[in-house]
Amino acid sequence: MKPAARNDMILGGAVVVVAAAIAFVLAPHAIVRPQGTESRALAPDFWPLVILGMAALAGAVIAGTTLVRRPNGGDAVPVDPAHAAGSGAALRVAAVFVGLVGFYFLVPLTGMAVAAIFLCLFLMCLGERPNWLIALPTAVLLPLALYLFFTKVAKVPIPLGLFETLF
Amino acid sequence: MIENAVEAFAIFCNLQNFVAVLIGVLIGVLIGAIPGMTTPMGVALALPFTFALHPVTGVLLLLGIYKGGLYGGSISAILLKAPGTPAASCTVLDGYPMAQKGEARRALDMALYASCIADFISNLSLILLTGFLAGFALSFGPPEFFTLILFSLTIIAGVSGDSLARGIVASCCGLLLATIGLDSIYGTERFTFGNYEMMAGLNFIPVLIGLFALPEIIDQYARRGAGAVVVGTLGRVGATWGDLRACFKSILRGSVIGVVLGAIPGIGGAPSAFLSYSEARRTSKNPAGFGKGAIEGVAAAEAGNNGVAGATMIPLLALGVPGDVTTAVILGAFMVHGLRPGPVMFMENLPMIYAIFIGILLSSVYLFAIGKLMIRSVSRIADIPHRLLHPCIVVLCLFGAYAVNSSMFDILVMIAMGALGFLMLRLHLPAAPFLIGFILGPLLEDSFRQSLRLSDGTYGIFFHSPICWLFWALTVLSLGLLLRGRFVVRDGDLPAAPTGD
Repeated sequence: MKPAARNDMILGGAVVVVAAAIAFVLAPHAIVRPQGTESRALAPDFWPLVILGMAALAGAVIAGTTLVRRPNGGDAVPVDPAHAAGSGAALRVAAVFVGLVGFYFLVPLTGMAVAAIFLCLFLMCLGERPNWLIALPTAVLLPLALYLFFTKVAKVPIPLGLFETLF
Repeated sequence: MIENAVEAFAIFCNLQNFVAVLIGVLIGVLIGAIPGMTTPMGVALALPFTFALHPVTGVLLLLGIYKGGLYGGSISAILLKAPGTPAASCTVLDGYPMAQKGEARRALDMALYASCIADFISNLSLILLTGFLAGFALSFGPPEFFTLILFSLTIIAGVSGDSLARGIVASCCGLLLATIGLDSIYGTERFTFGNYEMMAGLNFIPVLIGLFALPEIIDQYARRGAGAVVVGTLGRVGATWGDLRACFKSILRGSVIGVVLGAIPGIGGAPSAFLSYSEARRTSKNPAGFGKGAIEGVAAAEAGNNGVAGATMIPLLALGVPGDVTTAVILGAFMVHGLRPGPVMFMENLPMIYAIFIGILLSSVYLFAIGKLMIRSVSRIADIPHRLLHPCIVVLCLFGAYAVNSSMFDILVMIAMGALGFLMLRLHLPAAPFLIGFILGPLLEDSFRQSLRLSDGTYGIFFHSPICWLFWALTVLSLGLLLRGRFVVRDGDLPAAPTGD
């Protein structure tokens, strides 16, 4: 089996399994069904179950077409060589998410503007070597400008963290 | 009639009104261009400033913000892939690929032309067809609404790329995510896991930003070293007269779609933009180019989006029913000044309504002028090196996601959507069907269930009126044509059999 067809088979199978797991395991616990609903179609879980059924069907089609596909046709999406990521790429992707999650946890401590400055600098370091003469002022001034805009103009209270007592 | 018109000109012709519309459009464009700053937010922020103004001046200021905001959303959608509004998310589909190809200025120009033309047509419809369209809108009940949204969903077949099954999987993800929150009929929890912040459902803006902007940026980080990013050299080349002529039919069609859907309370710009896009793709000579940077796609999406601008005022002015959140705030502005839009206002304050009409027409001219001036500078954003631009976009997105509800939970949603979007990118699951499902899903479910409640569970209600039949027929026709087009293209794509030469 070609890599593209194998990927489709795995994707289709995974969609069916996940849809079934949500429908039969998660949904009964996560959707509260009141007593005495007027009709089945009005029950709160009717719509999600219909959607999950459609998803499972589409997943089965994706997996199934790999078995009956013509040699050069069908739905198979070719594997993009640029997406065949190496470990370096995977690390960089992981680092971006670590930065974003780190930002989320940093905000209550340092406030949003300072956390954004750290995140901006971190992402700049992660990319290709920047010109720090431009990058550094940008990383500092942009979050501060956004902070001032949202607090002073848009009247949106932006968290200040530990600096709350200073301002 | 003439007396009223003369009186209306007398009310309108003062410097305050001219300046109010100008400032309103300018603020609106800026607000729309900032992800996280929504038009309703802008209008609500400006509302207190209107208390001291003449009613006409105050309403025109708010209308200017509304119209500017509708267009402004396209700027961030095209340049940053971070749509400021759900309606602008349709512009992303072709606008961002154009910016990536170095045609940011051309895309922005076309978005402006389409927006202004659609806005103008919508304004004319407001002035000339208010009575007729208000009557038509009143004949829309939940079953008609359901069939209309179902018809709009057929676009999924058109934006699914090479694999329809993948598109359906993606749209199901969007539809499923839209069910999170409290059930609209029974008020019971669905997939909230006891978290009160999820009870209101997931907010559009963090989902849109996370799904579109973040995966693209993360992918660029992953590709670092795989190939240099080509910075557009044509960023300063605008749309030509030929471009406008080629897109004119789509703009007109999108404007009409926008006017009709805008007149129906509760629909909003997003379904209109998607429907206009779908029709443009279906009738285009090059449907395969849609989603890959077709200028016609930008024109159709923006025409559909802005076509609703004037039309949403039709139910407000004619019936006193706000068509969306923004017009609800504008209704508040009327009421603050002791005015109650509706038939009575047409009888008692007709010159005032005519004066508002004049201001609305002027807003289209201002929109064009301000848009043209802004495009010159903002299109250069596409020329900023990605190593500098991407961290800035991430920061902008984070502030934007937070600002919608002042909630850190929205930032978490945005990050989660970024992860999901990146996974979908890697699995070749298209983001557009996900988005369409997420936006239209709640409308579809609510109208479906409301219809069944009206009919005591009888499905015949979905076939009870000519409008329902019309949309059923259009749905079947549209699906048939889209699927036929798919199979014809696929057969055409098959490599020619070896000839032996």
